[in-house]
Amino acid sequence: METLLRSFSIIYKNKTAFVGFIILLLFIFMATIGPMLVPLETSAHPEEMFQPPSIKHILGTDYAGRDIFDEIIHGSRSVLIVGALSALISVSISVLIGIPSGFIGGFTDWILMRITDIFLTIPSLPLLVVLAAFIRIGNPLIMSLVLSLTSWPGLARAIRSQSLSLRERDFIEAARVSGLSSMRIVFSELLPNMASYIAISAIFAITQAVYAQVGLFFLGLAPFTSINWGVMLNFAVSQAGALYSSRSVSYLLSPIVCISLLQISSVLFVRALEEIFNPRLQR
Amino acid sequence: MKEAILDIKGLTVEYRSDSKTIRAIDNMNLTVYKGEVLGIVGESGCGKSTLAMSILNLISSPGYIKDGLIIFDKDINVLRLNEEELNRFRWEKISMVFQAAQNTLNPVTKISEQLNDVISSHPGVNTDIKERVVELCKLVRLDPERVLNVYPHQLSGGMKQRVAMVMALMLEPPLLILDEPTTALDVLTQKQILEILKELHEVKNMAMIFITHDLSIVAEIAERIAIMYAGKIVELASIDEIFYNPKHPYTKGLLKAAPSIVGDIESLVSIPGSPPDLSSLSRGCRFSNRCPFTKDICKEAEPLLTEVLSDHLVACHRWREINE
Repeated sequence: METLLRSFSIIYKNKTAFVGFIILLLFIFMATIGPMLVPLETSAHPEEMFQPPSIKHILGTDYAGRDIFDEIIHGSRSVLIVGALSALISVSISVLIGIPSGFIGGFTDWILMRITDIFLTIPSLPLLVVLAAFIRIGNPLIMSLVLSLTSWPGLARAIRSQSLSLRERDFIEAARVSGLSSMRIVFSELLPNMASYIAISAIFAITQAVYAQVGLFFLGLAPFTSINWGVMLNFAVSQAGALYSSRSVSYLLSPIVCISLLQISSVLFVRALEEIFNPRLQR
Repeated sequence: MKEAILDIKGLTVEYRSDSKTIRAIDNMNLTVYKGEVLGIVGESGCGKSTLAMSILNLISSPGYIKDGLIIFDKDINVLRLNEEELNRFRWEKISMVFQAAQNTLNPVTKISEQLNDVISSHPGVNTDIKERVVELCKLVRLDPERVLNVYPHQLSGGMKQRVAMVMALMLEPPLLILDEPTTALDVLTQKQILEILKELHEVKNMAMIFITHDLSIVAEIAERIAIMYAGKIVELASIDEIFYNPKHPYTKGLLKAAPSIVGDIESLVSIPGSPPDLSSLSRGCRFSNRCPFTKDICKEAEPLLTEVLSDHLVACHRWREINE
């Protein structure tokens, strides 16, 4: 509880991080309770298509006369879920691979790193295309799994090298001398020292996953099971011809602006994370 | 009769690299008695820290203990303990204050949590921890309230050193190893730490192994001194004997190389040459290529550490002639 309060005060004091934090909160709010507040109109209203932004339709309407603002709100949920879930999975895998690899070393290190190398050499986009052909990437969980499959190896290598260098630090040696078991050294010495790095990596993993996911939908490689910012982009280009007509500028720009805002806010928020986990940066 | 707390017999430690093997400690015999302060003096790279690490069975790859026996308190064979026993043994029986102790504190956890970590990994040590820590803090002249609830970077170097000492003393081990505990500190803090150590020794009556390269520091605190050179002990005697009646040419060289406070300002004499390459040792005495008294025999055979006077051991073929 005390830590939580302290974290909030750090975020509050750091203005850039605070801005990022507020925007992030807005997005989370939008994805969790937004869809309950605004019903999604699925049927087409040909008489209202390509309306410019107005009071009735804050962001205007799309090619079928549906409200774009509603679509943005309903589309945020899967973007955020997949982003967070896939970051969680890939960070967990890389911690589970990277720490034993760097900390134990020797043969364990060798074997874990060869496995990582194999995954590292798999080109992610072609793999996603192939996977999309075989698996129905319908629900967010499968989508996250597919995305983290190619995103963990780089992070695992980074975490390995972090624990490799931490392992040689004096305080780890001292912990060993004072009779702490290896498990305990990992949890109370190694992990706290890597917490900021892991947290920051997690945020960047989220931004990566958001891009990758939107990209998949935009390219039409994942089935359109629900509304999503990526799906909106796809429709804006393929159905509404946004590239050729100025009528659907709002339809094209809305998801793009939302994605950018989400990414920018994450990057701003990272600044506070560093301070929270590294007491030396605290004032 | 003095009772031994630590007995090292025939200890040999080597480091292996791709092309060569370095013998950091060669066939060392050493006994530490209960409640005494033993100083170990030698220049950089002579194996002092390796010795400290081997006593705790902490030599890790590429180093390994090739041979030898380390007996603690007559019945614990340190080199035979398994992982779990070792974790209990370390800190409960022997604890250590490191060279540059400021780096031995975890930078991202509070001091109190680090102290707790040590205590909770030694179950069965039933002590009133809070009182003990407060008492120890007072002993090393730290204000517990100021120190316990902060992160290491908020303390000064001397304070961190003292926190490391509190940590080392928490479980009241019968033997404390101090590996150059004052090297990274300024002279005033050094003095203060030494006073605290002396006081600790008097109050707790624990045995201490004080490792340093600075003779003047051990002079303040040690009762016996072992002079190490290139992985071997060359002279072992009481402090007075070492300072006023040194027998080994290396000890004499060391004393000449240290400034003296009393008497005239003498010019300091350094020992010419440098220590031998520990990966390719010749047959003879290790000091022979730097020793002003070298004769043929010194190049031929290695001198053994022998008792030349009562409680005064020297490893030199020519000690008698030199000291005439």
